[in-house]
Order: sequence, then C-alpha cells, then structure tokens
Amino acid sequence: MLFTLIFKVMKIIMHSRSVSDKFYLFKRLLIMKLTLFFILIFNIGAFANVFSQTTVSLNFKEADLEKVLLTIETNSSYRFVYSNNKILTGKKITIKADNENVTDVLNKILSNSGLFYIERENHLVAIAPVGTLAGTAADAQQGFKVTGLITDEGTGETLIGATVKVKGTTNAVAVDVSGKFTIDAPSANSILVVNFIGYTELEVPIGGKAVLDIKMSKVTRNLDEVVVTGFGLTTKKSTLAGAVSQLSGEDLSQSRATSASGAMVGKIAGVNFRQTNGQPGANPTIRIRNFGGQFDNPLIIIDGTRRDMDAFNALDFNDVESLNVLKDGSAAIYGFSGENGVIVVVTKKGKRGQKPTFSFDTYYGTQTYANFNKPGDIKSYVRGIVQTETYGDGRQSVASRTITPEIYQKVMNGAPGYEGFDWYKYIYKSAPQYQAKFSVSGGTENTDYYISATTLNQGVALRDFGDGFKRQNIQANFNANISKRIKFGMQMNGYWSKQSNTNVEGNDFDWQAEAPYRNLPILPGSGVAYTNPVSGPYINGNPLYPQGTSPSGQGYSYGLVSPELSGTASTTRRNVSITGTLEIDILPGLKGRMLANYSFLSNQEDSRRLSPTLYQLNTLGTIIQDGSYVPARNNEHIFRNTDNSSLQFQLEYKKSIGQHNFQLNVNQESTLSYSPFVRVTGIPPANNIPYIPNIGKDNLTSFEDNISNYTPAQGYQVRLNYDFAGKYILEAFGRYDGSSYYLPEKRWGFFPGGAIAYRISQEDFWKSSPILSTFNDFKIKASYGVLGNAFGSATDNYLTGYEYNQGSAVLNGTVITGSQILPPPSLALTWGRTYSSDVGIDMTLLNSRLNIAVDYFNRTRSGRGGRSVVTLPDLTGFNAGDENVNSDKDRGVDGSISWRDRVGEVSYGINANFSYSRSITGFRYNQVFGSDYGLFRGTQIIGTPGGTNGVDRLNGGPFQYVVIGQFQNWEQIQNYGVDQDGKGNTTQKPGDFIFKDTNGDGFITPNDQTRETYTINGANGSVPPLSFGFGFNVNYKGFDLRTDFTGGSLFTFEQTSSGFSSATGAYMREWLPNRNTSQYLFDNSSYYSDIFDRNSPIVVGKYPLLLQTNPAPNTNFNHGGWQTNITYVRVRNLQIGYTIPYSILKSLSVTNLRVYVAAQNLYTFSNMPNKIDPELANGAGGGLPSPRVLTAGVQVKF
Amino acid sequence: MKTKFLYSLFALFLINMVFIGCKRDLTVVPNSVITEESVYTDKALITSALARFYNQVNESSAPPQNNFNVGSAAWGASNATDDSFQQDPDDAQNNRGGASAQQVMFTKDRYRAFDYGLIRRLNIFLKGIRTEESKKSMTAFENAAFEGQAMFLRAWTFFHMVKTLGGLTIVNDEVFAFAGGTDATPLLLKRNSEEECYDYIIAQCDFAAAKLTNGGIATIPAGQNANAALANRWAAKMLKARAALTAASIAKWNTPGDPNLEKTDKLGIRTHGIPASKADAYYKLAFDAAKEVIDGGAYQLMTGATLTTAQQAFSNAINIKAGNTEVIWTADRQTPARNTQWTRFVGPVTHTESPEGNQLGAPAEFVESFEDRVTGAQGIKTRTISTPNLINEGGVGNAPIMYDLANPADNPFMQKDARLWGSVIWPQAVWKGSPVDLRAGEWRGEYNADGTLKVYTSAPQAKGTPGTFLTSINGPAENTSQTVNKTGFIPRKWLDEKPGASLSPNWSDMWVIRFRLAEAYAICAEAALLSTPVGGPGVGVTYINVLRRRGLLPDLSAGQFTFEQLRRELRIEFYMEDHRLWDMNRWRLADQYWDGPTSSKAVEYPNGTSYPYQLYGYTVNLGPGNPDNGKYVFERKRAFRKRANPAYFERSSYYSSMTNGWLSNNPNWDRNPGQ
Repeated sequence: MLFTLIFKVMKIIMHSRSVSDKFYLFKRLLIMKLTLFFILIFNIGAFANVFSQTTVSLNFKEADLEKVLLTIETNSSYRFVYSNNKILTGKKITIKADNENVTDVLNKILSNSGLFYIERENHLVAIAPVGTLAGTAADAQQGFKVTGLITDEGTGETLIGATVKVKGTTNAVAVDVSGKFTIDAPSANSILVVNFIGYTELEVPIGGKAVLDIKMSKVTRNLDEVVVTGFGLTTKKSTLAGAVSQLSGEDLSQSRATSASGAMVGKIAGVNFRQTNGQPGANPTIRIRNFGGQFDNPLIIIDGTRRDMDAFNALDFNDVESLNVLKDGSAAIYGFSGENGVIVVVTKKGKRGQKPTFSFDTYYGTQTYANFNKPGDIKSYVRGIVQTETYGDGRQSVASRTITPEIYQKVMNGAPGYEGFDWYKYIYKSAPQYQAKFSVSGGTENTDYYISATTLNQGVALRDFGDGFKRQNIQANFNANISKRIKFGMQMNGYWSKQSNTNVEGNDFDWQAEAPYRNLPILPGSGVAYTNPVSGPYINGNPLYPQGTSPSGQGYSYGLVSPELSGTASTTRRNVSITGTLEIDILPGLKGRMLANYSFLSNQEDSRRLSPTLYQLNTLGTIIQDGSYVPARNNEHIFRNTDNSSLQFQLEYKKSIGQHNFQLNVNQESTLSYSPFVRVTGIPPANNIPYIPNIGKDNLTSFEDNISNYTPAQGYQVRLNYDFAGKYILEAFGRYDGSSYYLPEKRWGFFPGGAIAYRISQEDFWKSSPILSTFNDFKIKASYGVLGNAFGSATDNYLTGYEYNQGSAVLNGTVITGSQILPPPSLALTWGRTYSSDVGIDMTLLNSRLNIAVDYFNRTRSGRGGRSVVTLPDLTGFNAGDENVNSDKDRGVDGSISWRDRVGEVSYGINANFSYSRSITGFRYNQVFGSDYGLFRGTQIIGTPGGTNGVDRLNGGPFQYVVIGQFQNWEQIQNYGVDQDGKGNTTQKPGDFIFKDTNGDGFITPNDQTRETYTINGANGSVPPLSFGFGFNVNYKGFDLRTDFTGGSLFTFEQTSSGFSSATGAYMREWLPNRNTSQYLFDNSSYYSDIFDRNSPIVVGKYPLLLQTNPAPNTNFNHGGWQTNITYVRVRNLQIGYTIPYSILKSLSVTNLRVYVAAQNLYTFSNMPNKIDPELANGAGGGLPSPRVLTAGVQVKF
Repeated sequence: MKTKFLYSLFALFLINMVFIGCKRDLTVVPNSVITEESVYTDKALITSALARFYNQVNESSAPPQNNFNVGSAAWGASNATDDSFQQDPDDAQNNRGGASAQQVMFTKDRYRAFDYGLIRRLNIFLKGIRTEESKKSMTAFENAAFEGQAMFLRAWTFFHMVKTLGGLTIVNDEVFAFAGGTDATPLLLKRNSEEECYDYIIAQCDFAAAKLTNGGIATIPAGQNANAALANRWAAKMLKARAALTAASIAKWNTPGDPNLEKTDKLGIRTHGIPASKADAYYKLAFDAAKEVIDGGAYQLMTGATLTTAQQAFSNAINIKAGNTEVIWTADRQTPARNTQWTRFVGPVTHTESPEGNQLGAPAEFVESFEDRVTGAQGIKTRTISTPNLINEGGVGNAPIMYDLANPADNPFMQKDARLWGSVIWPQAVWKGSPVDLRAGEWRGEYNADGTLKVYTSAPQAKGTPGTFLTSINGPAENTSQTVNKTGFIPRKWLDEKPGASLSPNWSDMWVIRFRLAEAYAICAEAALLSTPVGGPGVGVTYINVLRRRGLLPDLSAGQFTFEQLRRELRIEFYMEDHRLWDMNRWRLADQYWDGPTSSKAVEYPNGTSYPYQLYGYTVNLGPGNPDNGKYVFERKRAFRKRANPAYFERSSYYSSMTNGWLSNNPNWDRNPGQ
C-alpha cells in the first residue's frame, strides 16, 4: 500500500514540473505537505509494534504509598484510581525494582497493606481495601451508560490518561487514546469524579445526559511543573532556587503577533520590551531585565541548541510548549553569551499512548496603522504659509505673497478646486493578516510525535507598497524508546519567509512614513503660485502618468510608488534546523546524553530598483516627460548562508539517600559556525531586464566575495543540585569557557555560581500553624553567579599583521585595495566578569489559587575594557591597549502575581507582572573633571559618547534646559530679566519658551542645563526601564474571554528637531520648506490673531509661532518644551471565543471546535503628544507604528 | 553480559568526551589578516599597503591642502576663502539664537592636520621595505620606488602637520614600542623648532627624489603613472619647493615678537617663527627646486593660441585627465569605487542629472579681478556713466549697459583673460554643450526711487517645476534655498561634463590636482620677486608672464610686477585649487583681508575685502518688439546673507591649537601661540 502511495506522489511531483512558475508557491506547498505526510506515515508505521512501557525501576525506602504510585504513573503507562484517597495515607513502602513488570511491583507493594487491586483495560488499575472490589463491580452492572470527552479548558487539548470514577465507588475508567471515555454509572443522577495530574479534581453531575463535555482547568501554579534550567536540565518549580520565569505555550498562543517575541511581550516578569517599528515582519526588542545594549539580544536556546533572535522570531510560537527565561546567574551555564539572560524554548511533543490528533487553526483579519501622526490638512497648511509670509524675515512681511487673501478665503471655504488632496487617506489603508496551521500529534506506548505546518501572511497597510511579510513553518518532533535503556529523539524545524516591499528611496518603510508629509495637499500651479492648485498622484487621474507632488524630493511623489514602476526589495530566508538526541541509562541513576544539531540558514536579499518617469503638463496642456527626476536604476543581491552545528555530551547522575536528593550533571559543548556571503550590485541596461547581465564588468558596479572562517567555540559545564526533603535546596554550577577573542594563554576562564533556597512551608511548624498554612508554599531564595564577558576581537586583542581591504586608492589608473598594519594589540585584556545576584520570594497561598513571586537583582559588570595606567604621548602614533579596569551596574526588581479560581461554572484568572531595571555607569578609570559641575554632568568621561552619564549615577536623559513657561506677549519679553538668546531677547517672540536660569546669573548658558528626563526616544535601542503587563481571563459554559494589557514607563519622548540636516522631517516640531507638517503642530502652535498682519497680537499656543522655515526659530535647544515623560498602557490582546459543546460535535467526529474574534493593539492609553504610538522611537513623528489587528478565527481538533 | 559490556564502552566514551574531550584551538585568523613578513616580499601586497597610505592622504578627515573631498559635507578650504562660498546652512544659526557661523568660519582648528599614527605605519612599512628579504624579492628599481613614495608621503604628511601646528617632534624612522608598565618617560620627546622641521622636510624630499631617481633614471616611468596618481621625483621636488617657500614666507612675513605668530616654548625651543635672516636661503631652495622641475622638461603648460583654444586649454588642464601634460601629482579617482559628488552639488541643476546642484557660488569680485585682454581693465561695467571709483551701482538716471551675451563681441566676459572661461560659468556660458541659464529676473526699464533698477523676479522653483519663470531655476536669487545660486557665477573647475557624473552610484571620477607645472612657475616668480639674491622682479616677471600668456594677456614689465600683482596672478591661476587660504596664510595677510565686519580697508578691491559680492544678471524686457529684449543688464551688491556675516580670520588663527589631550599625554609639549 505504501508503495502505491509513493508511486502516486511521484507522479504528482513529476507532473508538477510542467506547471508554470506562477504556481511555484503552490508546488512548494504541495511538496511540503507530501513530505509531512510521509513523515507521518513513517512514524506511525515504524513504531506501532514496539513493546509497551509496562516495566518500571524503583528504589524507595519508607516512602509514602501515594508517592510510589505517582512515580509508577509517571514512568509507565499505568494509571491508578482509588475508592477513597484516605486508604493510601500512612502507608510506608520500601521497594526496590529493576525493570520489573508493574503488576509484579504492585503485588509486592500491596501485599500486607490491606489493599487489593484489579486491572482493567488500558492499564487502569483500581485499588481498594481488600474485600470491597467485588461489591463495586456489581454496582457497575446496573444503571446508566455515559460517554464523554475530557479536554483542557484553555487549550482544548484532550487529556489522555485522565481517570473518571463514579463517586463513592471504585468503578472507574481511564480516558482512551482519543480522549474519550465510556462508563457505567449506577443512575442518571450519579456524580463523576475526574482526575488528572496537574489539574484540579472535578466533580461532574451526570444530570441525565448521555454525552458529557468535561473541561478541566490546570492547577494555578503546579509545583511539580518542570522548569528547564539549561542544557536539558530540568528542575521542579518547587525546588527551583534560581530566577527562572516560565511561560506556557498556551499563554503565547493567545497572541495575534507575528513573532514569538511579539507574543511574549508583557507576559513574563523580568522582560522589558519595546516595538519601535510596525512594518510587516518587524519584531519588538526584548531585553531580559533590561540587560544588554542595542545589539545584545538575550541568548536563545531552542530544543537544547543555541540559536539566535532571528530563529526565535521565525519560530511559530504556537509550536512552543514552554518558554523558560533564565534571568540571573543561572544563565552562567551557557557561558558568556548568556550574559544578558537566556530564553530556553521547548517545542511541543506528542503524548505517549494518544491516538493521532489532528488540529486545524486559522484566523483572518485586517491591520491598520491606528496611531500614525497625521499630516496637516489643506486649510491648516495654507494658513501656515500665510503666517510664514506674514512673518517674513522677522523684520517685514514678504512683499509679494504667494497666497492672497482671496485664495486664502477660497481654501477656507472649500471652494471648488481648492479642496486639496488628502494624502493620508490615500496612502494609508487596511491590509489583511491571516494564518493557517495544521498539526498532528500522538504516540504509541513507546513513541510520540508532533508535526505541524503553518502559513502566515501579513500585508502592508500602505497603498501599492508590495506584498508584505509571508512565512511558512514546519515543525516535526519525534521521540522513541528504542530499547529498554535507550531513548532517541529528533526535532526538526524549518521555515521559509519573505518580506517584500516596493523599492523606493532607501528601500524602506520609513520612507513610506515620510510620504504623507512630502506630498503636499496643494501644489503651486504654473507661473504665479497657487492660482491653480490641482494635486493628486497622477495627471488627470491617469495612473500611466505619475506627476511630481513632492517638491522637497520628487522621488517621494506617490504616483511613482508601485512595484511595477519602482521595482521591489525583498528579503527571503530559508532555514532548517535538525536536532538529534540520544539518551542512555548506563547504570541505575547514571544517564548519558548526546545532542547534535545542524542548522542552515539561507538569507537572500534582492533589490531591484527601476528608474520610473515623472510627467508634467506643458503650457499647452500636453503631457510631457518631466526630466527633473531621474532616479538611477540598480540591482543588488546578497546571498548569505549561515551554517551552525553543535554537539553536546552529557552525563547525569541522580541519587537519593533517604531524604537527601542529589543530582550531578557534567556537560561538554562545542559549536562550529560558518557564514559566507556574496554581494553583487549592478545596473541592468534597461528597466525591463530584471537581472545583472553576465557580460564582463559593464553592468556590474560592485562585487563582494566574503568567504568566512569556521569559527569554533567550546565550553564545559558542571552542575550540582541537592535538596533535603524538598526543603533545603542547594545548587552549584560552573562553566569553563574559552573565547577566541583572547590570547591563547588568557583564553580560558572558570565562572562559578550557586543558589540556595529554603522552603519554610515544608517545616512542620508551618504545616501545623492554621495561619501559616494558608500559604501552601513559601520559599525564599538567593543566587549568585559569575559570568564571563568577552570584549573586543581577536584582531584587537592579540593578532598582528596587515589587514586587507582597508580603503583603496586609484594608482596608475587602477583601483588598488589597501592594507593596513593592525594597531598594537591589547595583550593585557582578558575576560571581564559579570557578578549577578538575585534574592527572591516565591509563595503560593489560599489553596494554590494565589501565586506571588518577587525578585530583587543586582548585576555588576567589572573588568570592562578601558585605557589605564599609562597614556602614551601622541607622537608614538599608537595607544596603549585596553585593560580590564572599568565597571557598570544594573539593578532592579521584577515580580508577578496571579490568581486563578473556579466559582461554579465560571473559572477565571487574573495576573500581572512587571520588570523594573535601571543601569548605572560604574567605575571609570582615569577620570578628570574640570569642576564640580563637570563631575555632576560627567562631561569628561572617556569613551562615553555624548558624556551624559556621570559616574555612579542612574543612566537616563541628557542635560538640557528646563522650560518654565512661554512668553505671552511682547511686554513680558521686554521686561524679562534673563537674557535668553545672548542678544537681549531681541530674537524672542510671544509663544517662545522661557528657560529656567538655574544658576541665577541672568544669562541662559549651558551651565543652566540639568536633567529632568529619562532616556530619550529609545536612544541606542534602549527599552523602557519599567515594563509591565496584566490581564484576566474568564471561561463560562464554553465562552471564554481573555484580555492582556501591556505597558511601560520611565522613558521620554522628544519631538526632535531636524537640526542642520533637512534629510528627515521633524513633523512634531518643525515645518520645513516644500513639505507638510503634522496636524498636531498646526493645531497646537501660536498664531497671529490676524493672520495677514504681523503687528497683530500673537495668540499663544502650546508651541511657538509656526513658520515654514529651515530651521525653525527657537526649536534647536535641548529643553523640556518638546519632551514628555511617557507612561502608557495598551490593550495588547482581547479575545472572545466560544467552544461548541462536544454533545453537538460528537456526530461530526470532531472533538473540539472553537470560534473566536481577537484584537491586538486595540487601544493605547498614553500621554504621548498627539496620541501617537508610545513605543515609537522616531522623534520626528514619522515612524510606522505597530498595527492594530482585528481577526476572527476558528480552531478545530479531530 | 554482552549488553553490559556495550554500555560500559559507551559510558567510557561519554566520560572521555565530557572530561578529557580535547580542547580545541579556538584561534580564528580572519581571512583579511596577512602576516607582516609576507607583505614586504610580495609586490602586490606592497602596492596594497601603499594604496592605503595614498588613500589616507587623499581622504583624510582633516584635509591638508588640495584635498577637498566632496561627497560628504567637506567642501575643503576653497569654500572658506573668497574663492567661492556656499549658501551656508549654518547661516540659519542666527535664527536659533546661537553664534553666527560665519564669525567663526576660520576657526583655528578647522584645517588642523595631526596624524602620527600614519607616520608610524609609514615607518613600519619603510623598515619592512628596507629588509634584505624585501630587496631580494624585486629589482632595486622597484624597491627604491616603493621606498621613495613612502618617504614622500611621510614628508607630505609631516609638512601639513607643521604648516598648521608649527614645530613638532621629528620622529624620523623611529617605530616606538611600549612593553607595558607604568613608565612612559623615555617616549616623552620634545618638540623640534619650526626651522628644524622645515629643514627635515626639505631634506626628506631630496632623499625621496633620489630614491625615485635611480642612476639618473626615473623609477616610476611616465607610462606607469596614469593620471599622475603616484608620486614621482618631480612631485618630491615640488613638495620641496612648496615647503621651502612656506618656510621663506614665515621668515619674511612674520612680525617679530608677535605673540600670535612666534613662540619659544618652556624648554627653550623656537617652535614657532623662523629668523628673517633665513628667508633668502629658503627662497633660493624653493626657486632652485621649482626651476629644476621646469627645466626637467617632463611637463608642459597647456595653452592655446586663439581665444577659444586658450579658454579650452586652461579648462582641460584642470578638468580633463586624458592627454594632460601639466599635472605632476594628483589624487586620482575612478568610478564607482572612488568617486566624488562634486558635480552633483556644484553643477547647475538645469544641466546635471540631480536636483541638488548650485551649492557653491563664485563671488563677483573674483570675476572682476580678471583683466580685459585689450584694455587691461578689471571689473564689469554695469551703468553707462561710470563713477570714478565705483564701476557699479550707478546713481539715478545712469542707464544700465545692455549686453547681448549671445554675441561674443558684446559679451563682457569674453573680453577677459581667457582663463576666466575655465574658472567660472557666467550667464549663458556653455557647459555640457548648452548655455547655462543664470538669470535673476527681468528688467522692464523701470527704476526705484533710490536709482537702483526696479526688477521683477519670481520665487526660484524646484527643479522640474513646469512652466517658465522670471528667475531661472538655477537662480541667482536671494533666498535660503541651498540649491539656488547666490552670486551669479558658478565655479567651473572640477565640474565633470561626462554623462552620469551627478548620478548615483557612480558619480564623477574627477581628480584633485596637488601639483601642476604652473605652480613651479609661480614659485619661481614669487621667490625671485621677494628675494634680491634670487633675482628680483626682473627674473620673477619672466616666470609670471608664462602664466599670463595662457590667458592671452600682454606681458608685464619688471616694474609692473609688484607683490600685489603677484597675489592677483596667483589667485586667478589657482582659483578653486585650495591655494588661496594657504597663500594668504603664509603671507600673514589673511587677518587683514578677511577682517570681519569692521573692515573698511580697500586693499585689493575698493569695497572692502571681507565681503563677497554678487553680480546679478537680468534679462531686458522693454515691451513687444524692442530690439534690446533678451539682452542682459547687471546689478552688483554685497552678497546675500554675507552682508551681515563677512569673512573673519583672527590673527590667532595662523596656527592651530594643541589639544589638551596631546599636552597632558606629553608634558614636554607646550601650547601653541595664540592659544
């Protein structure tokens, strides 16, 4: 049968060769699906007949019976039900078994215990006091047959292995591999008791129904939940001593973001975030505890392998089982790349003994840029021009105005021909976003598998701006026990993604965000200005003839924008990563593991820029070419292949002696990476030639052949966990790490760390106290770790010789590439050390419904590179190398609180978390300050650009003038005692800002500057020091509602000035010639009361007199008048869903069907000027905000 | 038993991997790093190392002379002088309440050159090239040529450092090393006197010239030096002449005892100032070196016999590489790798492919300084009745002169020195094959009450705006746009007429000339004029007349050849070649000419020297059918915006300052005068 199938598929594939390129994507999808299908068949077929997990190894001394049974459940396919939990209490068991049959073990355990067991189908075992089982069996004969489905309330996942029992009897069944059960109850009014590990026990009255739809909810914070602490090492949450936050895949999947970092925003304590850009495929910046600079992403581990932020973002987060964030010294186990925290991703796996479960999940929606800074309308624009001409050169108005009072009136009245053109409305539209995901998972008794495929499409909400972002993912996980002692696993994930847009100047979306301001609402006509104000992208509305509408740069004319006219720019990525794992039980307690990974990423950038033509009307009214704008045609291609492989060997030894539990791991990890690329640019001979012809150098403008080096890395880790009765917990870990940055003899460093925790709640006095025992769990913990810090590079630190490709010169008619001798290396430099400490409290109280966790952390990075000891005279021509002399600090608090409960049929949860972290400039060697003020400002800091940070002071905003008001009238300026402009205030006008004379000398000088803000406009990629998130969810009778809010504070938005450069507009602050500016500025500036009379009083607005000049007056000082300290809260996700009851679905053989509507970035509450997106870092006001996404979707499982 | 054995083997394997697993060598040498030893025996790699030296000399961020690197914002010193000026965006500083940018135009440190790092790298290179291994791997000729070029580039670099900073430490061939520790005292060397520095540079030029001439034969034959990009023995001689002339000028023109110009430092070293008695010796060195270049016969001036050929020849000597017989050393360019955007920013927008042109204007008084070929008169007459001292700005009733620019006989610019054509673009002058429209507006025969012309203008439109306007898209106009001409003239030197020269990504391959033969004549003329032992005006005039003849001007007599005349000749010949600032500097005249808003001196032209002037042309429209329609009238006044902000060179700006960092790193170095 399999052969027939393969044959058919081959035929299809071969046939598809003749399919034209138009169907390329379809073909790819088809092949992908077929591959998926094969994997499926192979997996199910190959491992269907492997023996079941019916044996178990145990070693207990005087242990609770309940614990022993739980251990058997965890390590075999057996499940237990008891007539009454009390029958188990107080029974202590001693047992030792090595791969014995469960039934044999049970016989040993239960002998002499007064208990007896009976095995039913599906390895379900009922346990009851001797002599009672016969009677209960009789109960089952009579009565009422009930079938049902048991699912997780949140995910809709079937809960295989759950048990259903009729209350008061031992009559019980286990859920079958499809999640269903059938049980005979004594009557139609009996009550069923449903149990599953990790879930709240549930009592369900049958109430006469023959089909039941049972939804179970997870225990709030399951102390047995497993947290990944690195290198496949896991710890139960209850005995965790380090600072590790965890987020379940279920919480992630609520998001409508397009990337994993977008989905995790605001959901984990200790994560700071900011999304400064809303273009398709863009991601927020994620910083764990705000650690790391602009390019220092946290380390990403996916299924045990080092990956990077790009791989994380390209992952389909619906395939994630859990995210574990290592925030403190425990990240040390990953070596120096874990310095800024580690995100450990575990992808979903199938469940053992579950029949194949298919699920299909799709949504469709629209996105719009809701918080964009809108350009001014024609009335505001014309009014502003009139005011500019009225102001003239400041001494007299412009002699011949371009806008006469007659035209002004026509515009104000909206006379025909004077309506203007609304570019914002024309350019900004809505675009679709949709996703479809198909997955299958399941397992036999010895294998499990999980396979999924996803396609995602995010359009561009801008007119004619290309295809946007597309991604297709595939994820396949497979695990098997190939013998009693050997486990084998494979994880494969791959994606294809493409981000594509119209090729405009600079190739990017920022251009797009400028276009509404660059294309004017009214254009001057021929001859005298503004008598014939027609506008719009095309001449006579004919799309064949785009016209120049952007006098400040005709390339911005929107008529040119379309892939056909201007070409496209795209980035395509193809990635596959394959991990294989092997685990072997060598001796009792001793395990060996191997992990091998290979990943390949092809990153291809293609840019094809055409040279479109602008048209104009000549005086005779004929359409002619407008030669004023001749963009250059060019093509660029970059191909970069990144090849990473890694290998890990690990030994683990576990031993329990009485209540002393030990676990020791040692690990060796080595990686190898290789990343060559080729870049080529050229000019095709004509617009219609899409590639650079291979005819010598004629069409080639540059070629870059960048072969790479194989870069190895290596490290050794050791980790020891110890706990006494789960009460006193001790961890010790360390890493011996090598870095190619340092001289071989300074290369290797050892970085140890440790953590302790004390679970007071496990003490007897706590358990017996009525007050304290409301705390189910109470743990205090502390950790301290040393991490290595790699600086510079091999060429900076020890390599000598000439470096090729340093500039070039034309010699004898030929371009010769230069070589330069490397500067003397920093031989003294070695590892810097980061000391990371953390103190925290974890508690669970009120029947595990309320969870609270708070951590204080402090991180000192010492031994940072800097010049020290001796400064050499400049005549030597070189500098003494860097040494490990400087330091920096970070400190803060993070925490979370959550509540989950069920009242009747309503289950609900509330949660909140935050991360507050500030950085501090630490020690600086050899500081020289000219004065106390210099010390205060930190102006002499060597190697600190801008010099805004003083030593031992919180990092934040720059020094600047303080605004204490605005001049209201001319008299006030004349009588004002402080000279603001160095010219006796002769340049000041009503509406101008008044600065505080901080030092009281009667003049405004730089010495009056002080600090009153936080970091401005995300300088250097910074994220808000305070980030938070909160949300709630409610489930009731199949309805569910979930809302997440995210927010941030302690950062500053500055409406920036364009300064001396007119390259970027400053639409929140200035109005440049030949451009529009924001409606906000038009609405909030000062104006003459009579717009045509420069002697009329100025009506003072929030900002100074609005003039179209470059640069605008009184806008260039750094001062508070243009700044706002921002706090915002955003409705990040809102989702309402309904799950169709199983009783209706049963006949469709569908186990779960949920429909929902969801919104992302629905609304933002903030104090941003003009309510633009507070996460934007673009102080000019032209940035593209994160889109608002409204979707509707359906999830099906069968 | 068998499986147990296998497991034990596996365990051994794992234990081995985890604990003993060989430590890898993590050293990764980037592909771009070459061992030092392999460089000096491989001619391709030596050339590569040398290319980096040329690259740094050509594109240094603190450009020494002749190094305006347009493409970024650096306009070079040509813009800072009265050669030309930009509609300076800094001007708008006034609006911001800040200090006027124009007042600080000649800040002390604007052209400061200081690069001991480059000297160190040259010394490492010299050490390598002088090893036996290196010499064995190539011919003696080749080795000498490499060595000579490096020595020349070191002298060139040090010359610009000394020129802007005065006497500095001569490090010679020393490659300093620092083994660590806390004591850098042995490295704290003293400065040398300014005189020693110039002597060192002059001597180095001779050594370099000797290396570049091996057994009487040039080691870099002309055929292997396309576009004169490599420094040959004549470049070394030219540098020697220029350095010696600079030293001579300092000795001659310094005011003894002026604290802004002379200094003996705390260690008793005369770091600034050369005794006047040394002047003649330096003039002699300069004269001899320059004469050697002229007599060498390797280069010829490019001239023409007729007006058209003379005009074209002078332009070609600057702007055309092919067949150029005059240039000695250049910073060559080749697209797309090494290009310049000069044409994009300076060319008239009506003629370039980009909309950003017209950013430099040539001031009217420069155009006026050219002589009429026949009458010898300077200036452009604008009104029919000339006022005695003012050629322009006539009073009420003085009708403007109407010029028919299309007719060479009636075109005032065509009557001038032929070199004017190669220097600037005037209204209706041809560039890229067609006349350039420079038109400020229209005159309809009317006058204002104060007697000035009543003219009609329109706001200059952005390039490509449809329709016709009273004012050309090129300007000139008095507005704040950077892409509209402000003075009425556009500098023609360095403009590239090749198609695409103003287009990304190739731009223009226009070179920058460092030395051309004309400078050898100029040096001989100056040295002779100012030094009786060298020959006096009688000898000097013979050299200056060679340059005048290329403009088709009559020869001067020895009596007519004054210092003032020399200055005007140099200004005309080397316009826009970055000589002006340095000439005025070494004559110590910069502070007297560009003396800011207080100027009332009439040294070189009658209206004050620190103000640039504009000369706007208007087309005549006297009603339908009038035969004068379409002719041009001109009006002259102080340049827009520069009226309030004239050029200002403070006396303390002759030497740049030492940074606090340099001084604290070496306590044996003292501050510079005027600092």
